[in-house]
Amino acid sequence: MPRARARGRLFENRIVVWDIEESRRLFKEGYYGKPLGIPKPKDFLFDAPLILDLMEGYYLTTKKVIGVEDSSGKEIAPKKLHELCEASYNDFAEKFQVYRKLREAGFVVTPGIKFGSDFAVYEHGPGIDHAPYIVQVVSPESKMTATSMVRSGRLATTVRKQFIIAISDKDKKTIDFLRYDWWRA
Amino acid sequence: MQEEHAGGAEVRPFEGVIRDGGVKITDKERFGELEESGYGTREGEVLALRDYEALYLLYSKKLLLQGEQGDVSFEGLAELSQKKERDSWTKFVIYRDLRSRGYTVREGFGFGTDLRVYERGDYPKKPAKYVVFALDEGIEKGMDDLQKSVKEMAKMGKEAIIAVIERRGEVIYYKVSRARF
Repeated sequence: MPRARARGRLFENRIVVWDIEESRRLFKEGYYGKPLGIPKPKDFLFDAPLILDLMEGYYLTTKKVIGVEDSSGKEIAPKKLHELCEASYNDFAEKFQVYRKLREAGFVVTPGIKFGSDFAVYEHGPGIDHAPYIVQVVSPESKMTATSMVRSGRLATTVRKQFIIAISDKDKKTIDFLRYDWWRA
Repeated sequence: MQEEHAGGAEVRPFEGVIRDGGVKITDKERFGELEESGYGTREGEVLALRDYEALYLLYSKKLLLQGEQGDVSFEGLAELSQKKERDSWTKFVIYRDLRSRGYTVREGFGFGTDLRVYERGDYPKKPAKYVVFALDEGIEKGMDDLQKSVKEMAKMGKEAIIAVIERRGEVIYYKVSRARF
């Protein structure tokens, strides 16, 4: 985890770290963010600002790794930032709870949208290990159908990744992880 | 797909009757054959079969069933059974599919539409390894219910399997287990 607090600037619903040194450090120390215009950085020596998504940006704020400023350069209090996150990302609290849990467990957690899911979770990092898990966050009140079950199972087999459903209860602050495997009867 | 029939190939059909709303096997000397393969439960002088067990035996032509008005066919029992239980066909569909794949299948624990499934060759030496839950296409189930079922199964040392039944009856299975991070 980086030591000194880096500065991030909130742009709409993303957080930009302008300082290149800080950008490199954040990326290196946990694959936080994405260097602007470099989808797959070869090393940690890129020359670009770092774009953090709200999930990781808010997480790093709670860890006091970054401070986030608004357009006037004024620091946004974590509580206020959380409100902004909730307003611009659906089910933020449920998803963030899962993000934090996985990060605290030492995993590298990145967006899973390419796999049609919430998170891609790496043991070491993208490019080092193949994303072993794709995680979909659901609430306990959500419904399961035959189609959704098969879709999840299909997804995991086609991308050869382990599919995990995270049942996230934001009120009870609990998460249950369920793993789906095709069973060849 | 290989069809496995009760009691091996070319056996004389078992004889059963419909009594007290269910199928009973009456020829005592043959109880053992059925019980060995995991069919039925003793009830005094008879061996009581679940409807899906009887349906499967009828389907595999291993049962001659007598009702009050004479012979009862597979179709006849299927209709009779449907009147008693809303999910009788769903249960039969899974039961048939798993039996035909060589598994021994027994009644479940009553968590929705469920069946206990023994690994091939395990019955009756070892307990059931799996519990299969039906999830019919077009039906919604709560995530919290799935969560509870998986927890319960884990406590009992069994693996939870979801049998997704597509709308014409084909079955796809998924194993659902708890993961820790």
